[in-house]
Amino acid sequence: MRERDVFLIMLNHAGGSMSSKTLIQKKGFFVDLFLNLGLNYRPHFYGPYSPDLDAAIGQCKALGFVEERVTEYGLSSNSGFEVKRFDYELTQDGRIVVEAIHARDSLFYSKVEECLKRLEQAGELDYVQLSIAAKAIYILKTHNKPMYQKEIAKEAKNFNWEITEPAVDKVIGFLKKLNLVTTNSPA
Amino acid sequence: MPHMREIRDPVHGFIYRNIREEEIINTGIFQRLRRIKQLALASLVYPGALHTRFEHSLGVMHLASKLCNQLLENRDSEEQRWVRLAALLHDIGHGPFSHVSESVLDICYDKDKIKPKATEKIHEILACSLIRYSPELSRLISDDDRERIIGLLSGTWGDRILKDIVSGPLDADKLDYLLRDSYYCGVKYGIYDLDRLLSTFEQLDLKDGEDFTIAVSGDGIHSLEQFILAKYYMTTQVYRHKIRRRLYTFDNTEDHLKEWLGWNDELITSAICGEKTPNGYAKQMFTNLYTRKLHKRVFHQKLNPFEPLVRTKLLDNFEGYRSILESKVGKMLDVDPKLVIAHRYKIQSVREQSRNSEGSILIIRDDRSPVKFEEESTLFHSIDEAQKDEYLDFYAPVTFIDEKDKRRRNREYAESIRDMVEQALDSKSDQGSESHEGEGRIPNNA
Repeated sequence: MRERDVFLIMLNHAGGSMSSKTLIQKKGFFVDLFLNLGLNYRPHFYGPYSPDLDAAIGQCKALGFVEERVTEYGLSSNSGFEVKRFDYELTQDGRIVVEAIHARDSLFYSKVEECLKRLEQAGELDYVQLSIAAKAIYILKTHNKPMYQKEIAKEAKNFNWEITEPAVDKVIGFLKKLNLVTTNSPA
Repeated sequence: MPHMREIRDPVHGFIYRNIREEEIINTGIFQRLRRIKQLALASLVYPGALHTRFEHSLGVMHLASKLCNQLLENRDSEEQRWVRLAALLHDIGHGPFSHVSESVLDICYDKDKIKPKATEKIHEILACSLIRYSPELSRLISDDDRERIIGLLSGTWGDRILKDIVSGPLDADKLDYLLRDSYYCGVKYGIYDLDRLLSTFEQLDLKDGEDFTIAVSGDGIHSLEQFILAKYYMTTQVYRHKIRRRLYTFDNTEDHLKEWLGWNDELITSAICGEKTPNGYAKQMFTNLYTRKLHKRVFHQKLNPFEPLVRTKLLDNFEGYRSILESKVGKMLDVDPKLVIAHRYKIQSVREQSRNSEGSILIIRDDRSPVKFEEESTLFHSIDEAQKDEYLDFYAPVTFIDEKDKRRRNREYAESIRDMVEQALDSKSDQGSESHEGEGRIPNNA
C-alpha cells in the first residue's frame, strides 16, 4: 500500500506522467531514504531496486490506475541486455486514487512531496545520474564509513555496477545539497 | 560411494538412497509425510491427486542429486550430502493438508514466543525446529550436519549455487512437483523435458570465482520455456482451480512439536467429523468436503470493473472486509452467511513466473555473457511484463437445478454481488459499512 501510494504521488507530482522505470525506482530510493518507509531496496542491475515498488507499479497497471508505454531501443552493446524505456501515465481512475490518498493521509502525502521537491532543488538529475547517486549512497551506507570517490567506484564492482570516479564526482554536489554526504579536503 | 538402494518411482524411474538416508526415511517423523497429501483436497477435483509429501520428498532428493552432479563436479562431496539431506527433509514441517495449514499457522502461532524475521515464514521455522530437536533425526544426523541442513533450508548458510539447488527459480522442489503433480492429476500442463533442461544447467560465475549461480546455456532456452509455461499452467489450472481451497498455535516448545507430528490429513478429518465433535460449522464444512458436497462459485470477477477506491480497499484491507462481505452475500443468497467464503487472489503474469524473489533465471550466451531469460526468449519477450490479474471470488452452498438454471442464476449473482460489494465498500471508513441492509435478496432456489 505504501509503495503504491509513493508511486502514485510521484506520478502526480510529476504532472501525471513519468518516463523510465529506472527514474521512478531511483526517486523512490531517495524518498525511502528520507522517510524510512522500508521499501526493501537491494542491489540490482541498474542500482538499488525495490521489488516492492516494482510490484506496486505492476499492480497499478493491472488495476487500471496507470497506463504503461514501452519504447524499445534494441540491444545494449555493453551489457547485452535489451534496452527498453517504460513510461507511465496516471489514468482518470488513478487520479481518483491519488485524491483519496491525499484525503486519507495528507501528512504522508506532503512528506513525499517535500522529498520530491528536495530532490528537484538539489538538481534535476537524469535517470543515469540519479542512478549513480543512488549507487554511491547505497555503497556508503553499506560500508558505513567515509570513502573517496575512487573507493566508491571500485566498490561498485562488487555489486556488479560499472561507475567511474568522474561519474561519482559529478553527483557529489547533488548529494551534498541533500545533506547525505559531507566532504573534507585532504590535509 | 556408499552402497545405494533403489526405490521405484513413477515419475523418475529409480530413486537411489544410501543406508543412512534409508534410516532417515524410515523414521516416524519422515513416514508421517505418507499421510499428508501433496495437494491437500485437490483429489476432490482430480481424483488421481492422492500422492503425498513422502514421494515428493524422495523425488526432490533425487533431483537435487542430479543438480549436484551437473553443477558441483569439483566440489566437496560433503556439500552434496548436505544438499541431498536438505532436499529430503525440506517438507518435514508440513501440517495436515499441506499448504492449507501454513496459512492457519500464520494466523494462530504464539506471537509472544515466536518473533519471525521479515523474510521468515512460520512453517519454515517449525520445520527447522523439528530438524533441530527431533530425537529420531538427532540419532541419525550429527548436530553439525543438522545445522548445515537448517542453514541451507533457511538460506542462512551455503553459497548461492547450493541455495539455488534447494530454493531458487530452478530448484529441485519445483523441478519435481510440476512433473509429479501433473502426473497424478492426470493433466499434461506440467510436463516439460527434464533431462534436456538439466543437461543445459551450468554454473555462472558472478564474482571472480567466489560466487556462482545456476544459469541455462543458450541452447536450453526452449526447454526452459516449456518449464516456465508448465509452472504457469499448473498454477492457473490446478493450484488455482476454483474448487480447491488448535494445532496451529505454534510456540516452538517440545510439547507443540510432538503434538504437530501426531497429526495428518486423515486424523484431522476424523477428529473434526467424528461423533465426539459437537455439531458446528467446522464439522459441517468438513463433512461436506468429504462427501463432495462442494460449495459453488457464485461470483468470479477481476477487480478492475469495481470503482477505483473499492479496488484499493479490496487490495489493502480484504481481511477487514471479508466477514462483512460474506455476511451480505449469505443474506442475499438466503444461505447461512458463515458458510459463505470470500476469496481474493492474484495470478502473476507468465513472465513473472520465470522469476522468484531471488531474481531472474540467467541464460549464458555463446560469448559467456549472461542475459535474463525473459529477454532472451522470443516467446516470453513478447508477453506483457505487468500483466497480472487480481480476482475476487465468492463460494456458497447453493444448488443449481441444471446448467440452464446455473447460467441464469450466476448472471444474476454476478450483477447483484458486484453492486453489493460496491455499496459495502463505498464508504469513507476503512472498516467498511454495515449501513446497507436493504439489499435485494435472491433466494437460493429462485
